[in-house]
Amino acid sequence: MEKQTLTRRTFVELATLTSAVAAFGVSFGSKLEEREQAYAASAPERQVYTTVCHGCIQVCPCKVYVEDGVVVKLEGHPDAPINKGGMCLKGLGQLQTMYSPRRVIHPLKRAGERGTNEWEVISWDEAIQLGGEQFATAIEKYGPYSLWGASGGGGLYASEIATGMQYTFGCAVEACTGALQCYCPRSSIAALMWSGWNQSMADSACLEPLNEYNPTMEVLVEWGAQPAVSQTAQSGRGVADARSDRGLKTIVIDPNMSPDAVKADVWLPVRPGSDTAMELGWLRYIMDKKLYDEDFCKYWTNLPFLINTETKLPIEAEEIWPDYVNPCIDPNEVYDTPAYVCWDNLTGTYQPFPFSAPEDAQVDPELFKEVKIPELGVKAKTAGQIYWEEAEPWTLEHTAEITNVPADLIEEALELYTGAEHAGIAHGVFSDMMQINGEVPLGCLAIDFMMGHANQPGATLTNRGEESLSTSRPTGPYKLLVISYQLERWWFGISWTIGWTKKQNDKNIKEQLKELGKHNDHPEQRRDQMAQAIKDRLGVVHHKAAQYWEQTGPGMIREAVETGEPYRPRLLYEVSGNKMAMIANATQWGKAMRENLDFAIQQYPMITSETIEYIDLFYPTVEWLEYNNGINLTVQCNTQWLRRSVVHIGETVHPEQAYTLTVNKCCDILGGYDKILSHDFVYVLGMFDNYDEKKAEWAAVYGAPSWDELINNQDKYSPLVTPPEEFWYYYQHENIVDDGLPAGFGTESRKIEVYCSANIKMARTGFPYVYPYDLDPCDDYPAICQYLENEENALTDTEYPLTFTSGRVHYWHHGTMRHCAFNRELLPAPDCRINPETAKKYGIEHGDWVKITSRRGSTHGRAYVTKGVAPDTVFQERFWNPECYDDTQRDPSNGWEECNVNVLTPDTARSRMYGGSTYRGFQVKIEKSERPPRIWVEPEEFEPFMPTLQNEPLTNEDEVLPNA
Amino acid sequence: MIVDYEKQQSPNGMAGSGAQPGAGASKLPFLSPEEGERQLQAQRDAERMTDEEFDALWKELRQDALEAEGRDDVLATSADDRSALAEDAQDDTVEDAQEDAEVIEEEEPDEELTFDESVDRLMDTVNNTPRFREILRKTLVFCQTRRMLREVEDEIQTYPEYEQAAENPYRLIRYLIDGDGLYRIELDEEGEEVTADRKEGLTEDEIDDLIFDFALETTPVGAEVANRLAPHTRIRDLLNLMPVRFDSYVNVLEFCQEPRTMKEIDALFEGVDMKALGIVGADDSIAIQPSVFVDKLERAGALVWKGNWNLTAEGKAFLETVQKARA
Repeated sequence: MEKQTLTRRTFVELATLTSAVAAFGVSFGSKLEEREQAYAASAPERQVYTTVCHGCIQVCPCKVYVEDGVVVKLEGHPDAPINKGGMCLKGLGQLQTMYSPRRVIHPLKRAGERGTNEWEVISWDEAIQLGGEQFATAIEKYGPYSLWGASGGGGLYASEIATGMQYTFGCAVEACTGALQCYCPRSSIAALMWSGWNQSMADSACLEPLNEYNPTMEVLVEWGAQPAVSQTAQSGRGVADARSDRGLKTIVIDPNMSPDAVKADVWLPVRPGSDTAMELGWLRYIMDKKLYDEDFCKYWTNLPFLINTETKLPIEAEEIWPDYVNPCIDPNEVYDTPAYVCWDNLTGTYQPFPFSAPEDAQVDPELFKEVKIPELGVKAKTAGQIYWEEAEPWTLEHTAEITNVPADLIEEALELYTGAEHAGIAHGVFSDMMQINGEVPLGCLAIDFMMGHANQPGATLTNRGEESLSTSRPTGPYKLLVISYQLERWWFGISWTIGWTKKQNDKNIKEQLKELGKHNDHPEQRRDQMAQAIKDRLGVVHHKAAQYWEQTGPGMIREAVETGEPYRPRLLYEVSGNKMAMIANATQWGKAMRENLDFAIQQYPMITSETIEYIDLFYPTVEWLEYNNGINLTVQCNTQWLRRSVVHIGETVHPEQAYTLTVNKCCDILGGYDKILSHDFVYVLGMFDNYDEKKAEWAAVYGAPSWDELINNQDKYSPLVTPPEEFWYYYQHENIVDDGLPAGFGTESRKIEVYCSANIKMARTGFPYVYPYDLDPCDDYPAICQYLENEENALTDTEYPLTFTSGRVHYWHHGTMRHCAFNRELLPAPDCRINPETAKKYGIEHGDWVKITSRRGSTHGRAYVTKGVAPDTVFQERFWNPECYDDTQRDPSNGWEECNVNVLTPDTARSRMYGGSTYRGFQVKIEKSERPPRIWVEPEEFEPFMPTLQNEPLTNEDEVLPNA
Repeated sequence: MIVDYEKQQSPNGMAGSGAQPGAGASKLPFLSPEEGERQLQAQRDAERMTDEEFDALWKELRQDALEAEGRDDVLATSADDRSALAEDAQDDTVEDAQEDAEVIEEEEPDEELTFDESVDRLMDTVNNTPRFREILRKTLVFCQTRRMLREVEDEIQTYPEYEQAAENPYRLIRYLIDGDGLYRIELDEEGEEVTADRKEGLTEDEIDDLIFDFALETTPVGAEVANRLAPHTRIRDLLNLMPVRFDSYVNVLEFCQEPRTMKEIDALFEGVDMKALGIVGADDSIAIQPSVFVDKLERAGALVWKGNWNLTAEGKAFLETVQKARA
């Protein structure tokens, strides 16, 4: 035969290719050699384990069936209080993703240019050495601001690493897509307004709809929330049960006819981005018709407080009456409960309004009043009056005009909501993704608070468990898990605790510094360094609200990486999947990172577009079936379940361990742990370098004498169950505490601050985040919900006539699972939901490929023509296509341009309080198009994604990386 | 594409930076150790086969793999196979046959780029990974005189930037070759170029036996890129970009006539009103950091890290020019 195409060298190369030394994204099924059929000598031995799914943030307990070391079946745990044996597609998909040919099970180093999918396998020793060297070199060359971490959403394993980097090294920025665009705004506003949980159902903040022990809820408003889709097995199931078994009525406010909207009693298809208008319409209706809970508003909120119209802050009694003696003064000077001023209906004058039980109040405070205060030479209005004036223009008709929802429909929803004694709002992630992400939570919370739906049965705003009880005056803001700033800043003696006096805050800070001194020399110097890093955080002056979760808007990071100013974040530690699909703007982001980062490390179970674009070193981490974690995201309702490794393959590692060992290596190279800001901080957020010690900690949580005992007799120790009567608490604010007063709330006033004066103080000084330091002032933040539209909106844009919105589908969580063959078979390509009127206008039919264009770029989807979205609105989920870099592709791409709505999004349209980018509610055009090249849509095409690693031998995770 | 580490070494057997060849090169992920060993053994056995045994085995393996994937288009690349495909196509519709022909045609080589397009592409390659930039630029300059491969690999390892490259010299060289920045010149044992004419009529194995060594020489595209990235031009453009920063840049250059740490450079700026030095970007609420000067001078080729910050020769020359102008 002719040998022009073959030599020994090419044969060897070909043989190498046909083995497993190939591109990631390649199916090996077709390249495996034929073998003789194996016949089982006997039936396989089946073992059943209990663990906790981590396919999304709601973490359903589940049962895992293993035969001969291979997971063969998954199902929800029947004893789980909410998913009750159910499991969704995301969780079930782990059967495929665990053994996916896309898994990476050995460390990799880049072997080609950035943008190419070429890697070489290296050892863990080499990987950690290289990672540590790059960290150390970056610090020596440019200082700690050169480092930065990035993470993803709550479904991510070990998302706290990126936050922790800032306090370990004193670096200045972090980008967490699962923060500013997901949950941080809603949770931080609630934390400041009442120091309690918030209205997010997806994040398990509101549980009352799912409460079967004390089923009270009558009406649930799902404001941009779709539990049936986002957390199908848990919240979705719970709401479905509540509707069918307990007669729960629902109102859905959503531009998209979600599955929840289909079942709703009333669906308000609000124009995307017009939610502040809808909220003000609701508030006006409630106030105008006096439907609010008057007593609750008077005595448990700050709505009656007189607000100085010049300072915009509530007036304290001593300002008017300098000799006033506040009866709530703490003689021990620990707690601070100011006395404010109200208009007293009993005397017809303004009077001091000290904190007390309602029945002990000496005044009958007026909610809606404007007065002159000659002592101060200013006008004052009650917070209620301020809210009324803001809401007054928003009649049902005006609201209908702006939101595109008929007035009678809005009224129908309002009658349903206000007519129920036990009701509440579940506020979805949508607003976190827009420029209105500060304003919308203010409004949704105000609505529920005015109605008295807080700390009561059947309200979405409740607090649970022992931690919600207090024997002393509560303090705040509310600490939302490990990601709240308090945990980090207390390490360095920074931040103000609301509810304490200055004396107590100073005492606390001093104690914290003393504690820091046990871990680091020169603690005050290190605190100053950390404070300076916070002050140098990109965007920190204008977007102070992001400090609740230590965040920086991704657009600002992208600019700094690109321009090098005010400093260049240049060494990235990435703890998530695919920024190219999840961040705005993908095109700009990818270019900036690829061309400017010095070095980038990623830890994840598989290679994604982001990996190919700019990652240089890859740490393979476990999938959740291989993952031990006793305490991080393992709670469902009143139960806590052990998450434990069921199988383990390759050299994958625990996501919290590889990072810590890299930090240790960096310190070794620099000359010791004291060469970075605070090495021991790595342990504060739960990371570890000694797996044995960590396992012992987890075992102790469950009351087991050892990890082995816990694993071997798991059912004896897990789940931890809090008796329902010790979990479902209500009216905690009324409990009398040690100062003889009702507990109240962990706010400055000890009341619910519907008028969020903390926002005003935050804008001016950085309160409460940086005490004893200050941040430079910026324009005031809103204390109440105000009408605001996204920069691009349908009211003003004539060039791009359609409003784009987005949302989840139930097949995956954020950027995950697009490599799950079965899930992709069900939804191979993103649907572009478009109204029949709009479709007809542009000549588009159901199933046509369409091209969607914004001012930033274009992408594609497949038209799904439905009346389930309003005319002139289009809906498409975030998506990316891992098949684009499969080895079968003639001309591979990195899979993030073809069907990715984040090539459309603007990262320069930033929210004023948080600095987050805009992901929904901007303007686009649409036209009929062709199927983009490379993407797969037919079931057979996904064959290369079918799992292949079932025969991979089991390995022991303990033996992969050494303990420190 | 995972590249077997050993295969990516230069033909002269130069090891790469930092990697331990033994650690990962023999691992073939996704196969059990037994299968991995079997594959490697197959490769070794191939070296010992006769030509006839070798041809037969190759044909069998390649055929199986491609047929399993339905890659008729690839199988049809030889003239005989194309004829066979054409015969089969007579049973298909004309349209199908045309599609097949189009598929085959798609495998023709890419259209050639213009000179400017090639320069742009090589600029992207050189700029794409900042830690490689100076190494690649210096290599283009070094190879403006023809150099032997080993000479260039040795030269790269002398560059202070190589310390942080986390890449082996041969792969860096390949980026320039693949980007049309360097000619890869094949030489025989006498040092004569093995031209296309000399390869005429030889089998690939015979060609392999003829080629003894490799030389590298910068192409016109490479020379243009090297010229555009000349440090003196970059330094001059940097300092002229924002006049308000000129003195600060010069101060850093003067300071780094002695090796300096970043902390020492930070201290140099103590008391300086950094906000007065302006900022590129939308947020003017934060002042630039001293590291900005170091970063930009490094990117311009004026500073280099050798365990601390030092002037490069170009940086020194530029400083002297400024000092003379000021004298």
